[in-house]
Amino acid sequence: MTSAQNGVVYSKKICMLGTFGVGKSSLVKRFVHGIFDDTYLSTIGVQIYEKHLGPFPGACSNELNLVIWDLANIEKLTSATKTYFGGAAAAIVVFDLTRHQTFDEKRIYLQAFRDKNPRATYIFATNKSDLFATHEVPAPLTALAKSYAAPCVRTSAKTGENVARIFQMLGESLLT
Amino acid sequence: MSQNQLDALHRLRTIILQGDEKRLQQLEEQLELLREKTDDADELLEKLDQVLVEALSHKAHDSKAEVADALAPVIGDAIKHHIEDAKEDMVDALYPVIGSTIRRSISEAMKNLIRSVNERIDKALSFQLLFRKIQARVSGVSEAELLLRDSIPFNVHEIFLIHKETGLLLCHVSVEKSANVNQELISGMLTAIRDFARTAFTNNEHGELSHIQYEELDIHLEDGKHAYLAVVTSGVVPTAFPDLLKRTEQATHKRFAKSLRSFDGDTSPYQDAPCVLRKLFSTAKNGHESTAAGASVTPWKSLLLLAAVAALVFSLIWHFRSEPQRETAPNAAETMANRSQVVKEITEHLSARFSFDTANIKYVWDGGVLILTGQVPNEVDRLAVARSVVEHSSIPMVVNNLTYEKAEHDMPAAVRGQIENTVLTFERNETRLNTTEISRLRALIPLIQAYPETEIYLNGYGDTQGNEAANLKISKLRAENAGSLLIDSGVDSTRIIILGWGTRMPQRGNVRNGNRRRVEFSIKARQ
Repeated sequence: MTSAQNGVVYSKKICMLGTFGVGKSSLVKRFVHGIFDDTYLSTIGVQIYEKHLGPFPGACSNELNLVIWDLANIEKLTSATKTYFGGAAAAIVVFDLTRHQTFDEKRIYLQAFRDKNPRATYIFATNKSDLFATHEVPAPLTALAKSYAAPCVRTSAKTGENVARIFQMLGESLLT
Repeated sequence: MSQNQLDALHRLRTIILQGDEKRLQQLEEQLELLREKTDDADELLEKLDQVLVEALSHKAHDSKAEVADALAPVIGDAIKHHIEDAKEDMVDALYPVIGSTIRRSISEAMKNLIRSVNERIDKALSFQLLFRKIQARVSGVSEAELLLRDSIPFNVHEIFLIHKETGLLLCHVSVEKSANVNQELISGMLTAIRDFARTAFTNNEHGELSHIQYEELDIHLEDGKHAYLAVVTSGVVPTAFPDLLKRTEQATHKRFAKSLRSFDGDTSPYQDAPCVLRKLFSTAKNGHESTAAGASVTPWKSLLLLAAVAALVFSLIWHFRSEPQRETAPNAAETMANRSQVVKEITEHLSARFSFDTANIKYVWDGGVLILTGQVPNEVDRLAVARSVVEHSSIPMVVNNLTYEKAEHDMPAAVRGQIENTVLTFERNETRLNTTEISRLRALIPLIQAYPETEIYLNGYGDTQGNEAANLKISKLRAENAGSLLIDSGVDSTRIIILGWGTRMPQRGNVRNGNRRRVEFSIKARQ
């Protein structure tokens, strides 16, 4: 990373990864627009959002322009999907703890994402925390997170719990 | 009474009631006539029809707005149903109107074009006409095409310099002051469309989408090694423009080669890029000169190229519109036509999957959107049902309007106990929660949010060291910090009551591991 001066705005592309229905789009909408959209829309391909973050005291830039690629149907892992991964600096991998069976599917496209972006940063978001009294992360998920050096953060697009925090965490790690 | 008396009474009654009996008989006859008329439905309708028409006409004369308000919903629904039931009939009925409107619109546009061409010919001096003839002969472009270029002027509206791999915007210039504010989103979507087209239409990674047409605007995409240019134009493109576009792309790469190779998100090196890119704007002003200088393609070839590009764009649009439907809604048309079948399948699926009575769930169609209404036992089921419908049915959009009955006023004893038995502890002189205590507090959030008609009292305490005033302040800060976390997590702030108790003993004598530095919870029904 080049040394930047104060006032410089960095732009970074990040991808939202996760199987159908885990709440990727809801998390992004909650973060970007501040709303919880309880509508299931089978988005095709990709939806792109933009959000400015900052300030980041002590980082190489005061501001960060996050360009968020919300990818749909990534479990199919088509060649188009792999192309969309290109150039991403980070990924937020969204999990639904009510559906453990999706963990294995994630291994496949996470590997494809890492192949495209070997230096990418990851955050694992265990979404729909409003449905759980306790935060018990299953062992396979803990192991998966460890292999990607990713923190596991419980989130809820519905209540807003930790939604801004995961993007802020990501921003800080991208600029330091 | 004697017979004479009876006869006299009868005569008297006849004299008195004679008129009434006659009227009664007439009334009975009229009543019978009315009954016959009302029994005859056709005749009744005929009579009512006249009355209704008159009443409606009278009302419309008095207040058209009221009549329109009353009829609008009915007419709207009727048209909607009729369109659904008989699309072809509606098309046939509307064609004379819409077809005529379209013809008129095209005719108007052509008239304007012809008027513009004629005005230019009329205003031109004879030597200009001569010059145009020579120019057309030299350049190989017909005189008519040159006139057409004059009449539909070429304009460059916006230029985007976009990093190829990430889709991030490096630079944007526009002639309009009110340029599009979503430039970063446009850059991302253009990159996604390029990526999609590359994977959908070519088997290698070298083919690139070069042109997109949208209404009167053209988007020219000039590919480079690390970045590409997206130039939004309108009007007839000068033949020299593609060459200039390529040269601009090359100049950009030459000037910013180092920063493009090592691009890491920092866009500051491209602050000078507008100087390079703005040269493209000049082509709009000097279109003819550029055309004359750089023309090497015949008009027929230009037309063929234009047709090919249009075909490519059309096929791309078709692909975008049809392919997703095949992927996500393979039988969209059939689904529309067989809604009852779809609902039946969903009903059976839900009934088999869920233990509660799914007959309460209602299915409402709004166009192609399925809206779920009704009541389910709880929030988990509410989400699970909607997800199950989406996964099972391939319906493009499902709106979840299901509800569940919340026991808002009656917090179960177990839940109350779990919250009130939670004690958050602190280190000495510390008012912030450590990570362990934060996790324990977060575990309570769903329980607290499930019963919004309660108030949560956060009672802060301190130890016996130090003076009472300082302990009172610290104890309140502890409760405030715990409350802030709850509020930040979405708990309604009006439900949180903060209390600092200093060193006073707890109400319930609840000291965790002998630690007095703590926050306790108590719950009361909301007033």
